[in-house]
Formats: sequence, structure tokens, C-alpha cells
Amino acid sequence: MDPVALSLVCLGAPLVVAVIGAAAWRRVPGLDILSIAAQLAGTLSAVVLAFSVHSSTGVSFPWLSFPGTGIALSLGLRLDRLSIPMLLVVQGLSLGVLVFSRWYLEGDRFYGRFFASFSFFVFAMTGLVLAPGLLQAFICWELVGLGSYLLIGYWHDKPVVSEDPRYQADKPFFATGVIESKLSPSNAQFKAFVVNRVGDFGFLTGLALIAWVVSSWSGFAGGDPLSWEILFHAAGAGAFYQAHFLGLSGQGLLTLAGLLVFLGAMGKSAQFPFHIWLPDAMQGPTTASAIIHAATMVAAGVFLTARVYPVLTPDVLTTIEWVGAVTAFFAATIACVQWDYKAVLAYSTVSQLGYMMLGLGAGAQAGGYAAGVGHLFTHAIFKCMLFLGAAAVIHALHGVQDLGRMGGLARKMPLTAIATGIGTLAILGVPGFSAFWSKDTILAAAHAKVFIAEVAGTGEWAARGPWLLGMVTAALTAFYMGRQWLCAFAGKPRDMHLWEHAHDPDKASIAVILVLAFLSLQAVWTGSLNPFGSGSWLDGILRAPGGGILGTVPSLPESVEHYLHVGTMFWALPLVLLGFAAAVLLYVALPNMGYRTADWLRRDPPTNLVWRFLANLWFVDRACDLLFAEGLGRRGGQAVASADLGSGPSLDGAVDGAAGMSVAFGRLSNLLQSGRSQFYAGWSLLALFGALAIYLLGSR
Amino acid sequence: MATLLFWPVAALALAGAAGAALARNLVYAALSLGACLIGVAGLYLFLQAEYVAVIQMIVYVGGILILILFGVMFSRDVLGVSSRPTWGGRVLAAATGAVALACTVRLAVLVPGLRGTGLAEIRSSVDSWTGQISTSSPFHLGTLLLDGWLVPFLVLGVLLTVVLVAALGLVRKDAA
Amino acid sequence: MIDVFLSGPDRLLPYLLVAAALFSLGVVSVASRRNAVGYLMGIELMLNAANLDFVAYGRFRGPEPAAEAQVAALFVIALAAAEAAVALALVYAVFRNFRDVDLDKIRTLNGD
Repeated sequence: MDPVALSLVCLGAPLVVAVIGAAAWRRVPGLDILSIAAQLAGTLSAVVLAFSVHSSTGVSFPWLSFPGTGIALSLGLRLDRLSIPMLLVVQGLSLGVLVFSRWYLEGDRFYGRFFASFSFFVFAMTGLVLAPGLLQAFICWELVGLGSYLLIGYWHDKPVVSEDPRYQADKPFFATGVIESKLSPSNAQFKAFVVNRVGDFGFLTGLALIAWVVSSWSGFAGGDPLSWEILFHAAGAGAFYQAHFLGLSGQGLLTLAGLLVFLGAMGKSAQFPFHIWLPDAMQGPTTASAIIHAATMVAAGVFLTARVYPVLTPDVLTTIEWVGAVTAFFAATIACVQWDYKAVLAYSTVSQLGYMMLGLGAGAQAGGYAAGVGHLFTHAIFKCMLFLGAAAVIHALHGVQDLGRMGGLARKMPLTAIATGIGTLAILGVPGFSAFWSKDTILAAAHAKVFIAEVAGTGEWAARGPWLLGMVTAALTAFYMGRQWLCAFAGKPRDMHLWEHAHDPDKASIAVILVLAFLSLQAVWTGSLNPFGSGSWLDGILRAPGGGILGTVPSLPESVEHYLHVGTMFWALPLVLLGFAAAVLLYVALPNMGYRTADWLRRDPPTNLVWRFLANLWFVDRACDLLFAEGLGRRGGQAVASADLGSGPSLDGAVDGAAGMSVAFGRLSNLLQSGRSQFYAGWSLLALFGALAIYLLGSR
Repeated sequence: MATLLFWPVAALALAGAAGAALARNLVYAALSLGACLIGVAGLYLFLQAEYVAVIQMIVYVGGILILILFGVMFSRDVLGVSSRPTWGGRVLAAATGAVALACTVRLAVLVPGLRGTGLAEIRSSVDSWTGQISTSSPFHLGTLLLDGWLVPFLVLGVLLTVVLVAALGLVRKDAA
Repeated sequence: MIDVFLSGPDRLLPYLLVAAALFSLGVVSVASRRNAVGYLMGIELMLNAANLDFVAYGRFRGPEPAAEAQVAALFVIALAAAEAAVALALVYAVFRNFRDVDLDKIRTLNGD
């Protein structure tokens, strides 16, 4: 069948449902069935495409022409070995989540609107995946943000959690890090949109820069400068060396463009410090989180990075690797102290996204491209399944998300327990499950990058950091994910009343979860039953793309690859076992000792400092709240709202707003003026020696 | 023989410093500081700075330490104010110390010329060394003070006078 | 390289390490002591560390010790004496005013 027609089905079917829903979701009765049917059509088309398309193909039509310059920005479809598997993942997972949502949201007051928003989201995501160039990618990027906005703010009439009696009754004893007066679905949707906007600013700037450079290149023969073919061809032929911008040219200019585009990816994929929207997004329905915050939207950043891979310079890749490593570590540490079931999953997602970026940043020669993209696919499936499992648990417990009140659910919800157990083992990276293949490959790629750097004689310390962080994070992941599963499903029930009424979801939903669990087994991905094999039938798909500044990528010798892979496994597996054993010990085997240990860690110095630091989410959320929400937002908003003139900005309001902003910033710096001499002396000395150290370390 | 004595003296300085920084009871802390100062004077002796060592004993141990002991006694806070240590400050100090140590090692080990610097190497590199230490005798120090460094010396004198007056001014009872 | 660390009085590095340790302990005092006099002890420790560094570098720059370094050390000692005198006079004045030498309680310069 014609691939273009099939892709249009994937695009158009959800769009139709979204339009119908937008117009009349209250009146049309069968929106859920309609969206599932549309999704079924989409999934089937994607499957057929996967089997029938063997080489890159696509179609595009010019949309915005600038006569005289030869630039014609285009929209269209591109089917190649990156977009088709991604399309399959998006369509297939959406189908599963929609089927599950029928059970999960049954009887909800906004029922139809969920399916309409969801279909809109799938449409936007498909448009992004099939984009033939940066322009359509950007447009659909924003539309995806809108879809996420609609889904996070699904229950927009819910009050702030400090005023929500149900939340206050059910919240975990250690509701760590939540700024209760500011958390509500409508605030969360806004936060997600605004934080993404910051990243999108970088994306748009990078896009404009690229368009300008490519179109002013001497070899540009008209067409869409933002389309993948023309862009990679131009970059490979030296277009960036002909342009000069801000004193940069060539490698420097390419690095700038790459970093700007990556900024957009950082926002969407919740890299530090743009991660703050993701945990708040748990205010939306869990099934929405399953598709958006686990599998597809947050993966869009990774997908974009993989798409523009041929123009990423080594500097950009090192930056990506570091950002990913820091994000992975940072989120893993926070997840260790979370008691809300969904919060653990949210931070786990941030951490795994960091891993994907770590993989991508390791470089094509180190196998990083394959590793990062491979983990993108496996993570999408098992994280989606874990979120659906969370939805099942929360539904069974009538809305309680507190790990401290769960326990022993395996006896009441056996199928859910098995499925989430498989998912947990997968995310741990245990041999036999999908992420063992993908996560270990990431760590091996990071290790290979160190090796390559050592051979080249430069940058080896810059490469060691991400690898070490990745290994430590693997242990932490084992701990917190093990802790979550064990607290929920193993051991003795902590709240008998809740436990009594727990049950597995209905047949359709449990079937979805089990199918996804099956897909989380390693055999599905590697094509063999050997848990320690490292090949995959996906290898052909995951070959690093050629062209652009990458040219052709030489690969490492087979023996070196094998050695690095085995070496990584040798270190990673014990770390994982250690983390999991710690979780078992603290929460199942010796629960009383575990609680006493945890209490002691929380109360007494110096570990209580560590706990407070983690429990307050490394103070990133508070800092952003203080600086931006209060400082710029509220006070800055005063600048445009005035009581004097009644409409429009006024000078009085502007002055007030400016003054208010200064006050807010001043309060922040006030923390430095504590009046304690020890504080002053200690910090001045540290600053002095730090400056000296920087000078010394930087010279010769 | 010198090596045998060196490490105990250095250990005395370090232990005294640790006591001065960490002891809860301030009198113990002050006396530890005294031990540290004596240890440092001993290190000066190893560095062939005998005059400085003697001055260290006279001024530091015999003067400043007594002052500090006075201060401890009259503040009537011999036992230390509270039993909770300021962990934040100690973490900060540890960080600063680590950075200072890194700077020190970086300078001493990586700067060429200092790494292999031992007295044996230095002495063997100079043909005309007569085996007598003479450039830092009190005679030479005095010559330096009154010749090349005369101005700082005089300024120091003025400074000490100013300090004397200032200290008196600080402690006199205010007239209303 | 470990032999350089562990060697005795004939090498520069042990003196520098002792000085670094003394300095760090001085910073510990300064950053965490509640009593003002304890705070001053930290300052004295830091000054001693700097002095030791001076004299040590002066000793090892040639076959004979450098007199300039020792003169500098003498100046530092004299200045330390002066500073200790003024500081203790200050502590006395503060004590008279606040009836207490707890630095955590003397926070009138607090910015709020």
C-alpha cells in the first residue's frame, strides 16, 4: 500500500477524533470508542509501514515561500529508519493507553474530553515524528506542548492541594518537596507550558540561525533549508564555515546552533534544570502521564536530538552527555526519598531521560546513538506499563498514592504485581529484560567514549564523569525502583482496610499491561534467549546516521567493543544487586530496622542535611519559584496590571512592578546577609580559595 | 636523626591545631593552641630559622597565647556555649580545606623545580658551598630589617603604637 | 610520588602539607566556633600556617635559607600580636555591650 496514504491515516484519524471532540465532547457519546478505533487504524497502518518500507521515503510540499531567495519552507512526511519505529511506538502505546483509560476514567465528569485531548496529542506527536524538517518539527513540537497542557490540566477545576481535603487526607507522611500552596492541575499545566517555552526559545533561535546559515550558503540551490537532507548536506559541505555570526564560524557556529536546538530538547525532555514541570505534571490523570510523561512527549527531545545528530559537534555531544549524566544522577537521588507512588515514577522518568541523553552524547563511534535511541524505545514501553500499573494500584486503592499505606498488594493484584515486577526488573537493567540490553549499552558507550578519548589523548576526564555518574545512578535506580515495588506489593499490608478492597483491573486493561510486560522481556528485543547477548535485530535500524559533519562513522574494533561491554556488565550488575539488596533489606527483610535507620538518617546530622537537601528536591523548585514565579511573575505582572488607569499598562504599575522585582531579588540575596560572622568568614575563604584554585588549575 | 624528630614535632603541631579547632572546652582549646605554636616553632628550627623560632615562642606562646587565655577566662564561657556543633560551618570549612590542600599540592608537586627539591640535591648543585649556614643569622636579619626593609620596620613600630592606643580606647568606659 | 609525601625535613612538601592542614583547621574554627575567642584562635592558626609556608619556601629556594622569608615571618608574627590585641579588645567591648560572646547571638547586622 502507498506509504504516504498509510501515514496520512496515522496522522488524520486522531485529528478527526480531536476535531469532533473539541466541538462536541459533551454531546457525542462514543468518543472513547471512536478514538480507540482511530488509534487501531493508526497502529495497523504503522505496522504495515514498518514491514513494507525498506528505504527512506517521503513527500513534502512547500508551505511558506520567500520569492527571490529560493527558500521554500515545507511540510510533509518523512519515513525512514528512525521515524517508523518511533511511529509504531507512539501509535501502539496510544492504543494500549486508550483501552486502559476506558476503565480508569470510567464515570469521570470530563470523560469525553480526555479522549479528544489525547487524540489531539497523538496527532501532534505523529506530525513531529514524521516531520521532514525542522520547521514542521517545531510546529508539531509546540502542538505537542499544547496537547500536554490539555492533558495535565484535565481536572482544571481542582483546587490547590493545600486546600484540597482529599489530598490532605491521603498525602504521604513525607510529602517531600511539594509546595502545597502552588500545586494544582491548572498551575501544573501552566508550569509545564512555560518551562517548555523557555527551551523552545532556544529551539526557535537555533532554527532561525540554521535557516539563515544554510540559505546563505553558496551551494544552496533553493528549497527548504530546514529539511533534513538539505541541512545535512549543507553542513557536511561546509556551509557553516562560510557564515559568520557573533564572531563565530565553522565549528563554533555549529556548536552554537547545536546547543540552541538542544536547549529545546532539554525543556521537553526534562533535563536539569528544566525538569521541574514533570513531577508537577503528575496532577493529571495517570494514564495521561503514561503516554506523555513516560513514553512519547518527553521522548520528543531525545528524538529531536537523534534527528539532528549529523550536525552535532563533539563539544555539543560532550555537553549533552554531561547534562544527561547530571540529570540522571540528580533525579535518582531525589527519587530515593519520595513516598508518593507517582512521584517516584516521575523522577525515574527524568533520570532515564538523562540516561538517554548520556547515551546520545557518547558519540556515534562509541555506539552512543544506538544506545540512546534503543533505550528510548525500551523505556517507552516499560515506563508506560509501569504508569499503567500505577494507575491500576491507585484505582484499586481509591486514589491513595502513599507508599506508606501500601504493602502486600501482590496477593490481591497478582497480575499487576507480576507485570510491574517485570517492569521494575527491566528498569533495573537485570539480564533477561529489555533495558538490560539498552541501559548496559548506554553505559558501555559512555565507557567507550572514555576509551576513545584516552586513545586520542584528550578529553578523557570530561568523559569519565558521565560514566561514573551513570554507574552510580544505576545503583540508585535499583534502590528506589526496588523500594517502590517492594513497598507496594511485597511485605505485610500497612493499611488493612485499603488492602482488603484491592483488585486487578478489568480484563481489557490487564491485557494491555500484560502485553506491554511481554514486550519488556529482553528476548523480544535481541531476538534470542541468551540474556547476555548484546546484539539486536534493531541494530540495522539503530546504525548511526551518516551525512552532515558525521560523514561515515568508523566503528570500534569488535574485540574492543566486546571488552568494554563485558567490563561494563561486570561493574554494573553488582551495583544493581547492591541497590536492590539495600531496598530489600530496609523495606522487607528487616522493616523495623529499616524504619529506625531511616528515622535516624532523617533526624541527626550530618545525614539529615543530605535528607533535607534531597527532600527539598535540591531546592531547584524553590529557587525557580522564588526567582521566576514570585520575582518575575507576580511582581512583573504588577507592571502590566494597574489599578489606576483600569486598562493597559501604566507608568505607576511599571514602577511598582520594577520595585517589586527588585524586592524579590533582594530577598533572595538577603540569605547571604545572615549576620553571622562564621558564615561570612567561611564563605569568603571558600570563595577566595576557589578563585585561587580555578586560576591555578587553569594555568599550564 | 633529624628525620626521627621531625614527624613527632609535625604531629604535635597538627594535634595541637586539631585540639584548638575542635575541643569543646575552651581552656583545652587554648592550651592545645599553645602546643601547636610550640610545634610550629620546632618546625622553624628544622627550617634553619632559629631566630624566628625564638621570636615565635616569645611573642606567640608567651604573649598572644596568654592574651587568649585571658580572653577565655573573662568571657566565663570555659565550657563552650552549646553542645551542638555547627555542622554547616564544618562542612564549609572542610570544603575550603580541601580546596586549599588541592592548591598546595598543585603548587608544590606540579610546579617544576620544587618537586625534587631536597637539601641534598640543592647542596650538591652548588660548588662553592662551604657548609656553613650564614645568610639567615640574626646579624643578617638585623641588617635586612634596618637596611632594605627599614620602612616596613618603622611602619610596624608606628602600627604597634596605634594598636596600643586603639586597644586602650576600645576598652575604656564610654563617657555617657 | 608517595615518597615525596612521606619524606622528612629535607623536602619542601611535608611543611606545605602541615601548613595546609593547619590552615584548614583554622578555617574550621572560624567557620564553626560559637565563641568569639575560639574564632580568634582560628585566625591565629591561619596566620601560623601562612608563616610556615613563607619560611618553608624561603628555606628551599637555594642551598641556604632566604633571610627575606624569615623577615617576612617576623613581620607576620608582630602583626599577629597587634591583631590579637585589637581583636581581644573588641571582644571585651562586645562583651560589655551584649553580655555574651556567642557569635550566633550577636547578629545585629542581620539583613532582615
